[in-house]
Amino acid sequence: MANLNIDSKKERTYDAIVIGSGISGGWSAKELTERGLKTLVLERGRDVKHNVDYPTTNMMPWEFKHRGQIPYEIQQENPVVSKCYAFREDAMHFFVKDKEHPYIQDKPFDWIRGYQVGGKSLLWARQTQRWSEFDFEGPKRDGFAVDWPIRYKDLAPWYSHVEKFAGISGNKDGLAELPDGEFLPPIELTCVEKHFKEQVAKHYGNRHVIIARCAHITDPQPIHLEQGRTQCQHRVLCQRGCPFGGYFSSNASTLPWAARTGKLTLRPNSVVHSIIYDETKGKAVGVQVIDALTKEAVEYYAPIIFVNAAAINTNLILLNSKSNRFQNGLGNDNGLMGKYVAFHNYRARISAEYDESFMESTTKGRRPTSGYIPRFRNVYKQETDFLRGYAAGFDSNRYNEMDNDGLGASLKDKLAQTKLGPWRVGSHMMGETIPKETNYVALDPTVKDEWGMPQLKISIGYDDNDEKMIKDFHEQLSEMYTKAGFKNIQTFDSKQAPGLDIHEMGGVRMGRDPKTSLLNEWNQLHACKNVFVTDGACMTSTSTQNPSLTYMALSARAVDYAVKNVKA
Amino acid sequence: MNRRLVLKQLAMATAGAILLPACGVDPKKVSIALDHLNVNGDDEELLAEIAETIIPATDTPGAKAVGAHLFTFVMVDDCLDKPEQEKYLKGLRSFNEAAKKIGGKSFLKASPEERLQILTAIEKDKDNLPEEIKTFYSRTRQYTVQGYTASQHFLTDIKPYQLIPGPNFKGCIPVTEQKPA
Repeated sequence: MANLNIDSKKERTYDAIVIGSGISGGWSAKELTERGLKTLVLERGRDVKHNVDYPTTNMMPWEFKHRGQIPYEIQQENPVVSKCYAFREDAMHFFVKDKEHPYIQDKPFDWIRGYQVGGKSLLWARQTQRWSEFDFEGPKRDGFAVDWPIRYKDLAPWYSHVEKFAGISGNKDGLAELPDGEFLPPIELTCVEKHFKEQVAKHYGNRHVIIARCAHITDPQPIHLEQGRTQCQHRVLCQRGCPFGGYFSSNASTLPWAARTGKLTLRPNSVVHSIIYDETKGKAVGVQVIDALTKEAVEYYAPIIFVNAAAINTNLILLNSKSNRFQNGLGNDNGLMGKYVAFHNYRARISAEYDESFMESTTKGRRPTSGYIPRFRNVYKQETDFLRGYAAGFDSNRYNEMDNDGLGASLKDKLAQTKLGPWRVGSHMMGETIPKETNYVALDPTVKDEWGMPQLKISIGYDDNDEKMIKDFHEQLSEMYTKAGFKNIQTFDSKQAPGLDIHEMGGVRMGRDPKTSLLNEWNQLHACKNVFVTDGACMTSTSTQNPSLTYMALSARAVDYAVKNVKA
Repeated sequence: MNRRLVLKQLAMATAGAILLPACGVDPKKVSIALDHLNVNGDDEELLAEIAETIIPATDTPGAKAVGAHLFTFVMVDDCLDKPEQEKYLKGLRSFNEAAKKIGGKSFLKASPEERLQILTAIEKDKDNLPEEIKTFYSRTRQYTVQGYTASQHFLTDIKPYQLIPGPNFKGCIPVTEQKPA
């Protein structure tokens, strides 16, 4: 019997364990296996194999019973996820249903989750802007949160590393506030977007309109073909999973790549309960898993553990990893774990029309990205009564304004015609929010989920800085739109709860001082150095850029460090 | 329950199902499976003719041929709440009365021209109609147009939808070269 146990333990021992298979977990797995480490990837959800498990990917619009709409009963059962723009009939199977995974909202928080192999990398908006020096120096310069322990130069080579592999389309714009990367050819701006770009450049010194950088292969390189991926076909049905691998996802890219090394073991349906800490060794030795289907507990062991469970669930796992040494969660000596959670403020929008010129022109085809306005507020110096600033999307299009009046044959004729309306332009705000101790997630002391995990209490809200920023966005964009000749300008505030931006970050922040942060400059827990956190939980501040590219770069960088420095 | 018993019961249930149509219980059943909406074959026939009046067959198929009326039932069945469904049903059931008031005869007995006149009168006089007729008509019109413009026929022959357009986005082309995408 004793020998059997030893053998069984051996079989459950790896060189590294990665918790989570989403965008950062996929990268951790790829980098670990490429360096020869036998790696176990634990995913709490079901398996989703590239192409095999994309049931809707080749469906025509008329094949959807409700033409995309979510039926009433499903909406009623899932009030939170139903608010998400991508929760539609074609992709609803990739979203967590509210009812199945409850949490406690001390304040309204729309927690959008994707529990499956690949996680939300199947569903993301694929926007990949680099952070700049201005973003990393932000907390120190402006006196909030704590100083980032790294700067742009530390991450720049890792941005390049992940960009080349993922395939990032973009234009070299030469902007200090949004550094250029390793770009495949850019996708085009429309004539009205180019017009806006010129007008903004003419009227403002430091404001720019560019084509957004995105994780779409516009010119496949050998490294992409080797992954079995090819050129983006502009279907813009990405949320269904892409049969071309035209956009980057763990499923199409990093996970099959890791599997090909022969070093990867992927275990879906594995809910990580906690990380096991060995007091005599002074380090983590493995993880405890609850099988999602059988509810059986099983332990896995490794000398290196990467936590990539997605920002809030990474907080949950670490807070739940209690031991005699760490009674408030693994590495949580200062009691700050779960606190200083922040997000992106996506409440504000603005729209307008343009018919002064380009009325003989229109666009052709579908575009998987849009225009982008990098942050221009408070970049070089503080200039407003609020801290930090916002980036914005910028999009223009002419729609077929179908005339639905009339009845019978005349209505039918109208439906067959194409009657282009004016150019319609719009922007949405992506505002930096300031991490605060009062914005936190915590374990509920009593309520547990189906797998015996404590439910999370989420208490995250907007503040005065956010409200001022919304006002400024509406004012500044209105002024820019007016100067460009746009008419019928309308501003909106969706008042949406935090969370719907799906950019929640922090709770296990990086920093220089173990007294005020949880992770060091290599994403190691200060107090438990063989545990690395490289997903959204590690973020000290949020900046304005869509964060996934930065998680990819942090993951690759941390793996490189871990393999060189952590002894088995 | 043992396996043999289950099989036996299953066989009997299947036999019953096969026998049913032969008994001729109700020949006018709705032709699709619905979960909530209690409608019959007569309702379906009426809805089909209303939809066909909204978008008639010409040299190309109309609403009925592309199943826009059935799509309407599906959407009412799955995508509306119970009070809205009930209002819709009430409107459907009293529609013939409203039609008789306007045109002097039931909708199905009216000629295509007369049917068009009835619907035109309803559209013009929207504000003076009972709430349920208004609801029924506007929902039927909305879903008929949606069902027709999102039908295989429309998206293949009228405005072809491209599932795989290829990397062809152009930010600026002359309007004259525009094709739907």
